[in-house]
Amino acid sequence: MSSSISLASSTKAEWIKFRSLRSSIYSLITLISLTVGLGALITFAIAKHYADRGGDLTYDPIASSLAGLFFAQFVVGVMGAIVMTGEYATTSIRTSLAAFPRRTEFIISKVVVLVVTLLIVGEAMVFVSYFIGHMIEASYNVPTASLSNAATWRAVSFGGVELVLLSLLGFGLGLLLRRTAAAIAVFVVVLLVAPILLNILPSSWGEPILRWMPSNLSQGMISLTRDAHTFGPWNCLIILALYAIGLVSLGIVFFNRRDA
Amino acid sequence: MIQLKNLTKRYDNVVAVNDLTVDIQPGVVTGFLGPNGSGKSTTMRMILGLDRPTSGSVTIDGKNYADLKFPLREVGALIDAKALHPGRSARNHLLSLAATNNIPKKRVDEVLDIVGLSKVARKRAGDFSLGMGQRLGIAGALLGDPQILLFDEPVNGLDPEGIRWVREFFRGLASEGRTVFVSSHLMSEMALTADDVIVIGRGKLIRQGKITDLTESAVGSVLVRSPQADALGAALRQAGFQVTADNETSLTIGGATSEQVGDVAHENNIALHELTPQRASLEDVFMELTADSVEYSGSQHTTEETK
Repeated sequence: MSSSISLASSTKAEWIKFRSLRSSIYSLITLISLTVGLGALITFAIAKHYADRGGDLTYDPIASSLAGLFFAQFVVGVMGAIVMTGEYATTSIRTSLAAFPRRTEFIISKVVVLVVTLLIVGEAMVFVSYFIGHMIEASYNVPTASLSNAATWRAVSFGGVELVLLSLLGFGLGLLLRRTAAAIAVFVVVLLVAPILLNILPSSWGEPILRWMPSNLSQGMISLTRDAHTFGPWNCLIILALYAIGLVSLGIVFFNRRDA
Repeated sequence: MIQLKNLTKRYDNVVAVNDLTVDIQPGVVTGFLGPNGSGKSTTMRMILGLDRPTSGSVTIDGKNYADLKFPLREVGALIDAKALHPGRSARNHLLSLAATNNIPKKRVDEVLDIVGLSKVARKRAGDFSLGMGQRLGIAGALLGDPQILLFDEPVNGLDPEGIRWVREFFRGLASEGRTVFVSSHLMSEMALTADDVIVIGRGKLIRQGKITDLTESAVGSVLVRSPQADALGAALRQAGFQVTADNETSLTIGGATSEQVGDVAHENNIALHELTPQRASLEDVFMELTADSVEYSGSQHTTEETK
């Protein structure tokens, strides 16, 4: 037994806090059903359409299997934000910090629980989505992607990582803004609204910025095809990870200075 | 022992706590009194390291709160009964707190038993009444069996039976040699619970000492009834006392003892029908002490404009 409170003791407490809330379980159920369910539905619709048209369209088997991830991004963003904003909304942050006053370690323990949970759940569900999609595609005789192909393996396995990184962006926003509504609003603006606005701009202005947007980076991580204006999948992962680490680190600096 | 040294907290232009220097001793219940908004909760939060002092310091047995090895085993605090997630059960709330400080699980069931919440331990804390919430907060404070306990307005929302339980419980904790620091805006409550009191108003220390000294220091008055009230009043005024005529036969003499009033009456050959010393109640003393520092007050009580 250690001689003082530690990252391990706080992580254990954060895990108890996470698993003892019904909302955590509901969020995970929503996340899984959106990703797997919509992935299957969209794959089914596209594959059928493709088969009906006699195969004269381009077809990206991974893009349709993992289509549910687009919606999952928002679920994990909200989940990440609520980890912090929930503490402020209920004022339980005071009880938490009175029990565990080492603030940086407190935040890291929350990050550990969020990352580990979403990585396990996220990876499991992207592979399930992939296999369901693969089955549907095979039954319609449309092109499939095999996991024996390194690029396919990478695209699918990055799906879980993508969700983890986006949840950390949500967490960082929650840590900085402390209000659920504010954190979610900024998250949606950055992920959904900003890319649309940038697309309206003349492409010579919009495109150089667009490739740096989290939405394009997360898409770039799981794409088999790559257009000229996006970064490669590994670069997308690294840039998105740097955003996540940067935002959470900034949040920690403020968190250490502010009154609880 | 909790030591506050020149503790000051300023928010923008408002001074919430102003140069507070006090020691809070073990073995007694120390009441922390002041009107609403006088800086009690801010002081409590600074003791727990939640809010950073603008200047000055707070130490727990000489250490900063954040440097305590196992905070819950040294300091237990109830700062706000609602400071927990309403969706979590009472037991899970306490289990998560226990985990932070490596406190064994069986202690969770012990404290639930102490505060009488064992039967509802698996219910959502959000469905608790305010009184049950206070008990859960007290359970959280006791979790680490700490030597120092802080309670911010613990009797709020408790029923009379609960208030009585809390009162005796605090006295029991103090008799075991622990430091028990309890804030309240109700003097009457503190009169029954506390040994020492610290009175603050607008963040400033007004009075510190034994609760018994507080009443004794208050200047009393004497009620006197006499058929010759007018003559007695004149004689007492001449002797230098403040005299207020209550009605034709009765007077209240401020700043005098009953002996002094009796002697004056005897010297002037005036008959007395009643001679009663009026002891100021703790409530009166408190009102008098904090009269200048009430942040929000009904207009009938004071004409002084605050801010």
